[in-house]
Amino acid sequence: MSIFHNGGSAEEAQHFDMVTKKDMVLNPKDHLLHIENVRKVYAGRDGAKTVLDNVDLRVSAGEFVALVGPSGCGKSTLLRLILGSERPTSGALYLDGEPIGFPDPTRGIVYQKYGLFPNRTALENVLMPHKLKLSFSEWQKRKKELIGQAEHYLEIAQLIEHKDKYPKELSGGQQQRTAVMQQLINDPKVLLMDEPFGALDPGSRERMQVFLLNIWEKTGKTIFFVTHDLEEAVFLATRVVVLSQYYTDDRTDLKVRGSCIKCDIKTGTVGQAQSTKSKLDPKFTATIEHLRDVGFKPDHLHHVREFDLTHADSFHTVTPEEVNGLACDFPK
Amino acid sequence: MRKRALLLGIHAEPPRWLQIVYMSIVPVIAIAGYYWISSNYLADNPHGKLLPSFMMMLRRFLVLTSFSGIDFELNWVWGFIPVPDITLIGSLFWGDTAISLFLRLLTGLTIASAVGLILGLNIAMFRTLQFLVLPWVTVLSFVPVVAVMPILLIVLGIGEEAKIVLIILGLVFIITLSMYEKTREIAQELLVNARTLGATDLGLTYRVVLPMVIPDLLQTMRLNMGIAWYCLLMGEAIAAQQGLGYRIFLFRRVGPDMAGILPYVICITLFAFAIYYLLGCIERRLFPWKTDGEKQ
Repeated sequence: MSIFHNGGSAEEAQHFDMVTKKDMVLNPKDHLLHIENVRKVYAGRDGAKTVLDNVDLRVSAGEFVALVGPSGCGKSTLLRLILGSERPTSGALYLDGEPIGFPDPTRGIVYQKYGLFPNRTALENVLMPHKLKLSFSEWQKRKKELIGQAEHYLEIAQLIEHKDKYPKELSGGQQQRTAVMQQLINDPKVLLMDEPFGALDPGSRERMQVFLLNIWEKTGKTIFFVTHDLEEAVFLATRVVVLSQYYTDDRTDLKVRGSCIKCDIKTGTVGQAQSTKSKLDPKFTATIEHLRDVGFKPDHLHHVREFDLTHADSFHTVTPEEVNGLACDFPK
Repeated sequence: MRKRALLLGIHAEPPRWLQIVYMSIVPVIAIAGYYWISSNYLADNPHGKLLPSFMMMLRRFLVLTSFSGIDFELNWVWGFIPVPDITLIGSLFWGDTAISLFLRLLTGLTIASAVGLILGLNIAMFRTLQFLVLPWVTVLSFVPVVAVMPILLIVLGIGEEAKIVLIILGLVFIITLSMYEKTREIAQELLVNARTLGATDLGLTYRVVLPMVIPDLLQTMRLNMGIAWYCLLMGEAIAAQQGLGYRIFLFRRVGPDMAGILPYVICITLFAFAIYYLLGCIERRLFPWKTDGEKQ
């Protein structure tokens, strides 16, 4: 916390607030995904626990956004809020200007596991969206055409020879490709991914990243990707959003005060940095260096500020103490 | 290097022939022991009935199983369950088997499974039912079926209905609770995923979840087969004119005819094991995605 106290925190905080408030004037219809001042509190045995606070985020159509942060900072909670399987304590989420309700086909999800129906083959799994949405007679009528389409999707994912295998007979990477294809055939407005490659070995993980980038470039789908791997986030995303914890006592205006719980409250968007789409862009190398510094080396914090000012177009400024908190929590 | 143990030890890996030898030790001792006791007993009491020799049992069993001509009539319980009138079949044993196994046991088992599956599935999926039905299903599952039997006999009489209902009551709550648990075990992520793929409430329940818990239903049936047999024999012992259970108790009254009882008990055990084994085969054959060969 020492950096925070030496670094003129009041101005930083003010600047932070200014940027946030200016952004809030935006109309929910201007962006595909609009998250406004979201706060999520869980009731626990030892009192209420604030997981997300003051989260503001806008995602435009076609963006590939990666959400990174240390374990337990509320990444998956934010994802569940967007998905609709949980509701925010306060604040609002909009998709295409419409408030987000319960899970529905406008938002697709790919989990780390449990994404596929274990009792159906790869082909049947990819066909599931049609089977669930069409009535029996319609399904019978369009069966041939839809199976052809599903097989085409499996071909893109190089899974056609495995189409009659059950999920447990597929490798981890094949399972995740099937899950992605299942979602693509469903054609959601935004595709949410919750650490989808977290359980894969480094080799298939890399292949999956390239696969996903290809898919994204071909389809132009909006992807919201949660990971705790900074490098993966930078490699994949057009925008990296960092979620960070901060400590209760440092912000005087917060509700939980004087408690001895250290990591009680976690905050929303701290820094959004522009990264590049692909490896070819010269900016890419610089970006990954800087983000490494954010995550792993608190000594290089001045880089972050420089970086923010020079490379990013629109962002919430990273305040030093937040970055410090992030650095402490990031496992090396 | 130490030699791998054949007989004892945690890492013992006996070859196939030795495994078979090990497996047959217990039955060989049991049969030899019975033979020894029985022959001693018969030497002392040449007309004794309590410990018949194997030959006496075989002779009795052949008499019980022999046909003198097959002829039967169909009656209907509740208008839709066919009841063959077995008294006309010459063979006592096969008549008893047909009525006990195919009429009473399988009917009771089928109805209990269907009701238990649908009830358990819906309780797990719809929260209202969890308050409305679940506590009472749990309470009812603790009611001993034997205690309810007199009520059944009073209300339903001594016909087929009472005995089938007895089996249903013995199984249905257990199957319901088991199916509830199995449905709850399905990962929430999978259900949310089905939602994002466009599943409605009913679609989620009957098109996504139902096919996933059918193997669990078979397993529950398999493991609770003992209760079904227990209810069947209990019902037949109290009030029946035919059936495996009825016959055993009848043999006890007229004799006691141990040479008849013992083959019946052996056959009941074999039937129970055969059904258990068959359900296991069906489970593996029909649901290859469920078997635990490789982990997901």
